[in-house]
Amino acid sequence: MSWRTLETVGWFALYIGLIAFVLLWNSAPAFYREIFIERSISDWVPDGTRDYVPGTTIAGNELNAVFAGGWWTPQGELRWSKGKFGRVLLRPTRALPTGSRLVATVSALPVWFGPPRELSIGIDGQIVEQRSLGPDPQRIEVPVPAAVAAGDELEITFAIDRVQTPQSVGASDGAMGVGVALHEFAVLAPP
Amino acid sequence: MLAALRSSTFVKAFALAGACLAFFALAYVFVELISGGNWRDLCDWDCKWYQSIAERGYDVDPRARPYDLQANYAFYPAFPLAVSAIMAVTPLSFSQAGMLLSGLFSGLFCWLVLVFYRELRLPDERAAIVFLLAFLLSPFSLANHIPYTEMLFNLAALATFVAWRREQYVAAALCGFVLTATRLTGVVLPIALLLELLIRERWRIGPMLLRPDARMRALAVMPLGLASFMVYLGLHVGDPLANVRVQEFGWDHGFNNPLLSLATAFFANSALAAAGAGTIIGVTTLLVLGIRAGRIPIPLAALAFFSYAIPATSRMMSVPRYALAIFPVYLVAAMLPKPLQRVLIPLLALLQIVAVHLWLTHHLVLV
Repeated sequence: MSWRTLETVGWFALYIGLIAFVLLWNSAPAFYREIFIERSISDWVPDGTRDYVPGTTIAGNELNAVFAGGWWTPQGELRWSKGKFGRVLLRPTRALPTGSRLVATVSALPVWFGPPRELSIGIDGQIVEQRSLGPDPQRIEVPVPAAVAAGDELEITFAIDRVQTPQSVGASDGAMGVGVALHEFAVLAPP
Repeated sequence: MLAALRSSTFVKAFALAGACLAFFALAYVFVELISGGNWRDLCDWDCKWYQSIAERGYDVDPRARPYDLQANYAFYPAFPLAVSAIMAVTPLSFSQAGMLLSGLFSGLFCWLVLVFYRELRLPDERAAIVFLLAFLLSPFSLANHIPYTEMLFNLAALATFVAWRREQYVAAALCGFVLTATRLTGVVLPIALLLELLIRERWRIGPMLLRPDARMRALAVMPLGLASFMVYLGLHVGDPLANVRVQEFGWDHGFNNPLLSLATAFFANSALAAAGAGTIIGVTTLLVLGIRAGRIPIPLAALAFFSYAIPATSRMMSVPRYALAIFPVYLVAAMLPKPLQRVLIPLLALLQIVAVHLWLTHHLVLV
């Protein structure tokens, strides 16, 4: 094998090493990984907590650790889901007994052609609401299907049947895919 | 080298660049005088990010301020490092040092064009001067006069291409290294040159790979500017792809379907989207015409095309700047009949005055 062939081997090794480094190296802090790589947190709030006092209204444009993966950073008065799904994870500081309710205000981009968007809301894996959704904000109130003990994690998923881009409906020049717009939500214990 | 520097071409090149810069300065003075004389800072938008890199280095964490996940490692290092080097040895501020560097890069760019115009398929020195005037006086060349990466990117791309064509492969490798450390899209030029080489010598790809020559070596070195930045980010932030990720999270610059992005831009009720889409179609048409007429070398056309096509996959904002502050498309100016050239250049210069006004009023079309 000549020196020049060895040089080719060397270049290939260098580039394979670089690609491996780019794909596999990961020494970022856990919080960075959760936001940028695992996408399980949406907002940069290093001291944030998912502890949630039942009855507290959380605005969609609030920076809050309860916004788990699937959300864009807030825009104006709301925030958009990044694709079809946006998840909220919270830990109630008090038990949520049977009869607790999720109250949320949501909307979607307008539709120029075809049927309206279909929204689904899931709580801890169970679909609790399905309805059509348009650009006008809708206040939705649905029951939490089971009691939740204090400190247990409650997962709420806002899902929509199709992703759109703001640009495609003339809302802005943004070409990022968005689904549900979350204006605000709260989980209320029964009185 | 010294003889070349002393030559009249060198003086002519810097006189030309200086005249274009003087026109830009006069446009700035004119706009400020008619709008109240506030003497606003030309360092705005991305310039502030370059300034933060030059003054305090790269961030580790994104900015902890509401509504963004932005960090200065979204920006490539070559230009801010060059400015910080000037700042280290002079008392100049970032804006002053950045403007000085952009002016110096303009002069060197003009010199390369005037000396090596044949490599750019320009027939004579007059055509070279027409190209330079159209390029440097065009409205979006505002970005070539302020502390932005554009002029370094243009200079590095031109120098890489000229050195490659003149078979000066060590120079090509070094300039290509700077190019890929200036912007992500810089990596398009080495890829285009590699493809051109492989197509031209397709019957001996095997021997070329087994016994690499200076050309292959130069092409292998060029992307190392980008690779070095990624390794740095891996060690500094902990994620070699931090630059790409923060672009997506902080500026909504993810990668989407480019055709869908272009098609929907026409239906968007947004002047910015329409301007971006119109620019894409117009500039792409000019690039194709330039290639067909044999006046724009294909690797440079590819560089120009991907400089705006890649950002356009995420959003149309900034697409006019990405497309129109890069030099290859202006090579078509030298193809035009002389009467048309005499109209085009003053028209572009007038539009540059408008661009200065829009820049100083933070108009988004120039971002």
